[in-house]
Amino acid sequence: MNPVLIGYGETSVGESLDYRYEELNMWATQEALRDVDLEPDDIDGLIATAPFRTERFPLPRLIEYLGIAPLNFAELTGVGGASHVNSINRAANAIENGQAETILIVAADALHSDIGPRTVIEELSDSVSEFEEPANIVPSLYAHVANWHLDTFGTTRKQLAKIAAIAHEHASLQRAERAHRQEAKSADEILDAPMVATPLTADQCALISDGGAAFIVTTEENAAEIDQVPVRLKGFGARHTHDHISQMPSFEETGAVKAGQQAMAEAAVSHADIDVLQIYDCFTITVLRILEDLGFCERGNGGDLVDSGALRLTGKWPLNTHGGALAQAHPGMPCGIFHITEAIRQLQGRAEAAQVEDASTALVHGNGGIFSTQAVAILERGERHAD
Amino acid sequence: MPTNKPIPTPTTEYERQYWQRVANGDVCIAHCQACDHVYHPPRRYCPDCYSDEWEFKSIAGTGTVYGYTSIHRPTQRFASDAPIVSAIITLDEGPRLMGRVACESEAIAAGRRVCLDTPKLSSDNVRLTFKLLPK
Ligand SMILES: [Zn+2]
Repeated sequence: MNPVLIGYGETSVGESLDYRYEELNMWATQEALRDVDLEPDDIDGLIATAPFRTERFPLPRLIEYLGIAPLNFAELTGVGGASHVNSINRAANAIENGQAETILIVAADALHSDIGPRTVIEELSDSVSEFEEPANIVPSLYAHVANWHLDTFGTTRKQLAKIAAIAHEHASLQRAERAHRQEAKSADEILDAPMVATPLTADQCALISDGGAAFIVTTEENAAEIDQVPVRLKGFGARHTHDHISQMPSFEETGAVKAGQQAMAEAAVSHADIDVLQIYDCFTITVLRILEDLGFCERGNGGDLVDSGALRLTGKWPLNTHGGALAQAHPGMPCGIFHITEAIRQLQGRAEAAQVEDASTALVHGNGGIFSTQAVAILERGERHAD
Repeated sequence: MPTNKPIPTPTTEYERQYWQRVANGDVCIAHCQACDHVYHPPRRYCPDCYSDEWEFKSIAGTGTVYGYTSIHRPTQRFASDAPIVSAIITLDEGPRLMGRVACESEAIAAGRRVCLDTPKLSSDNVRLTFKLLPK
């Protein structure tokens, strides 16, 4: 059986695309099908993501709209930025269980043009409980952990800002339609951006974008008929821990510690084997916390790892080579799917100016809520079959 | 001091009681009578043993700053308060909760001791408000 990831597709990303939720989902799906020369009828399973303003029944609506009915398997994801890494595993399990053969994973939304940045920020903050200080917005909740890290380990604001500088540098290598932000920015420029919640400036917070992506998981047998490099799921792990940031068990670590250990053990890989690092980057502190949790440095040494240059395209562990949520695109819940399509692109050798030489193993991470839910997958380049 | 800032909107009787106590300067955590667990925020069932037999227990009001931030861009209805210093505080009783700290952005740090600013609770706004204790 051995399910593999095979084709992917992406919409343009940016502001004011003037496409609605289901139209963006169809755009991404069409690109993914075209990538592997499949028809809508070849799809017999779907994992999708609800729009920001959840309708009562988004899944049947999307199934009908995409023209892929009847399906044997369909579900919505619901763990925020960890959704899509989780979905890889869900799809692989469904295929191994014989529930479906070819599953479409798609996520797209018109967060910028349909909802609008200020409304998104206000409505997301509604999820902050009255018991937790309702003046908070999502960036300020993450900022609590950022200041804890600065005070506890002597990490500097500039080291945090460098994470955003790497994201902008990598986004600047993308084709224009592929990245919301196109300009490289220095750490000093990032520190000079307006303060949102100390120590996080606006350039250290995820963008609010329109756009989305899709990819296809199918059996190895089916993939053998497709003229594309298959990507194998070698290991997976997830942990779900808390909701309120004040109730996070400890700022010392997230569920990514165990999720990462599980994924890397299952894949039988060590840190030295990882060629591409796709870490969910809703804020700079998210990346710093997770790099330590995943063991790419000792706890507290994330700042030194950033300074070392290892996370740049030419470094040992190139980070978010598409630019991530900080510079490429963040259409809300769908954001994490771009970390996966970029991993596929790298492993298939199609990343153009951002290509990591001989990329054969990628680690993809997703984070949902306020460090609440963590998922890690190890992906590996397979052998192209078709002539 | 009268305020037009939004007050909490309790949806259950125990939430109403909680905010009433806060307005009177008496901040509480939930104390499970079945298993002795203390927790925050209050809710109908104890998160440890699922019992609904719990009582409010007044806190001493002292604790230690764990995480914190100065919010320069709060939600719109709190815009006039900005910047707001918000902190996650480990109470001496054990549980953590989030509250405001009445201080300058630069003054707060992880590990600083704080205590409830009781007069502020009853006069300004029924939000949990702390003040820094001397180093
Ligand atoms: Zn109990």
